Amino acid sequence: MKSNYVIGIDLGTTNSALAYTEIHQDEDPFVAANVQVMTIPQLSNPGEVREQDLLPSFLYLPGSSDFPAGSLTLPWNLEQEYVVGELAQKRGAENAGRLVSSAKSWLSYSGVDRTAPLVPFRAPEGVDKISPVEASRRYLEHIRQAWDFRMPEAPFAAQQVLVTVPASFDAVARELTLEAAGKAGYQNLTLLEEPQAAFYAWIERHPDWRDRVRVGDLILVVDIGGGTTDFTLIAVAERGGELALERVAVGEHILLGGDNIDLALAGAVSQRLAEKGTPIDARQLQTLWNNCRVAKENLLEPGAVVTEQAVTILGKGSGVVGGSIKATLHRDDIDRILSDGFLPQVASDAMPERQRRAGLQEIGLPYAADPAITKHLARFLRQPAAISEHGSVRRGPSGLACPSHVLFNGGVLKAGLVRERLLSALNRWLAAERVAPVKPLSGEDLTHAVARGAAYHGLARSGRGVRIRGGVPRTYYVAIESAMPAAPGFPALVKALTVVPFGMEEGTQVSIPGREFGVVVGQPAEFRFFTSAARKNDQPGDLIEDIRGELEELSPMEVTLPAGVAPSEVVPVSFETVITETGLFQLWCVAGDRRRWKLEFNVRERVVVA
Amino acid sequence: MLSILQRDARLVDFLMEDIASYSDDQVGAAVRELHDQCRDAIARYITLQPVIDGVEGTFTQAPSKDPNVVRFIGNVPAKPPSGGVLRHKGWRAGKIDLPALGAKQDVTVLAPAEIEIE
Repeated sequence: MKSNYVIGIDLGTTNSALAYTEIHQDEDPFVAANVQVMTIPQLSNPGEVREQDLLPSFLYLPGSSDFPAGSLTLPWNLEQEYVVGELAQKRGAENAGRLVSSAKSWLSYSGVDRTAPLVPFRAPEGVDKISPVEASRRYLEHIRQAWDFRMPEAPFAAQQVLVTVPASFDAVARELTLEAAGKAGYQNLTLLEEPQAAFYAWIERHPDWRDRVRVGDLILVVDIGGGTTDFTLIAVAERGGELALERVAVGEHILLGGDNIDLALAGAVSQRLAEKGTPIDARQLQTLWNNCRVAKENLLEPGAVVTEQAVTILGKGSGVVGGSIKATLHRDDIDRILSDGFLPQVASDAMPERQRRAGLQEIGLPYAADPAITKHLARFLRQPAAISEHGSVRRGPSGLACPSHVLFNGGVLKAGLVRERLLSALNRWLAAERVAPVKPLSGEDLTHAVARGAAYHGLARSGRGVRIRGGVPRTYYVAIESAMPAAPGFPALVKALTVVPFGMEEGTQVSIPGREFGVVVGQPAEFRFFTSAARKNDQPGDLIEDIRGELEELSPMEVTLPAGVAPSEVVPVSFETVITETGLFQLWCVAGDRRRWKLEFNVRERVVVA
Repeated sequence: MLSILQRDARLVDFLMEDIASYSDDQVGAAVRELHDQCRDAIARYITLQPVIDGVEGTFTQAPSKDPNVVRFIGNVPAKPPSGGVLRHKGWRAGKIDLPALGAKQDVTVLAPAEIEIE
């Protein structure tokens, strides 16, 4: 069956959204695409299903005493046993032990086995934990079922689907996202990077985009969501006389976002309360956190004249007035917290503080150690990948990549003050490099842009619109132990063999020359696997002598050759890399007689690097 | 509806509380919060609109003689008049979208008791 719609799904850390557009056969390619956001029915209170244009990415695993029997019924499932969306978020604030949040951040965290039951991370004994992959599956399944409920004449499984992932997701996180989607019943699925999707949304809104950017321009996409911050650089190049877009660099996955800002504001208010002799407890802080979010949005609204807003915490028991605590959030608080903490006006060579290595570290998500978003941005623009040889990247004399345009995305950047501070920091850096200031590209609807852009991209894939050429945003390596006599006290020297060059495009494959490995039949052969977003010029087959520093270790890959494939016990193989059309990375072992075996990620065991 | 106003805005708590001993400042702070939340809760479930969309204090035609819709006050003649000075626009629930009650739900409980485990 031919699919009639393209569906774009923004699977966010805190909120998910769905946008779609219809595919018209033989349509004039210059007609603007009509992309729409679909509301997602979800439980907003026990027994009450509402349609919201966002699905909060929260999952609640109810116990027997949580909700009245039968109150979790969804229109498409009478026997629902868990809660996804708004109700999960609300109830989770009251009982955090059964709430799964930030599943996506866990999915990208290579320090743990992501297919093991891990979340809710602080679940009390007796609560059955689930894996981050399973949590993602449930969000994706809810979205699929919502579509099938709303659009019964166009089954989800028959449509083209694009799911967005952060540009900083590594190959394992991407594969796990695909795995979750597959289990959730997704079929024609492609992954797309979020900042690219945000840029597609801008193109969709501006059919005259070709007049707004020129060859040689460099577009910085800044995406600050609830829990994460992502940077991407897109260069405008020329190909065959047409403007073409190339993604030239992506930043690291930074666990830092709007929630951190709101929490800092709540902290400032609660500190003022404590000084006045009214300390508040953890649950009241939760309420205050929420109120601060709303107050911040009101205070930062364009044209807002008020300079303070009450953030009253109502009394805890049945007394509302008696126990209520009156507090105010001042505009100055926001200015101070942004300028001191999150968006300080630093020099362009300021670097974020690295995680301090405590002897005993609590296991949990690796939150960013430095809250200064501007410092993370400075490091990103100085990252070698962003400034290494690339014909179309503008650079200043000090090596700083100098964007000509900036596109904002994510709920936090709805606030004009946040955008202004980022712009002024950027423009000061650019002035120091004697380069003209950046032009902000006006984006609208920052909360749905990624989903909209994904749907638009789906059309582009079927021949309409424009595609950003990017390829793989990282280089990947396989470790090879060098043949040297072992000496006590010196670990065996490990070299890294480049298997995926930076920028390798989807739908292509490459053979790794010059290296053969002996794989023993019938036994799993394991390879350590590394990645780098910064080393950009390594070609397939290149050997890196010193793997410390720039390379980051991923889950190992393994392959088992079935017994009986060869007369001898050891089969000499070489590597071949394939990047599928859907952006999935595959590494194959190829024997001399062209027989091939695929290497699989082994996410269950983690090799600790010394 | 009462249950919803309690859940989303704690209206029952407020009405049943003895507020005589608190200062106007304290009551004011709580009421502002409560007022916003009640309004949001009502707007979510009911679309409220005036019965007569006019300016209060001006002469207005009565759209109907049904006492459910228009109430004449003051020097009302024996035969209902066709209009008069609009004193109150009235309220009409345009669209009601209340959640269905579950079969096993105890409707006498407006708000469950809360027990916190420390």
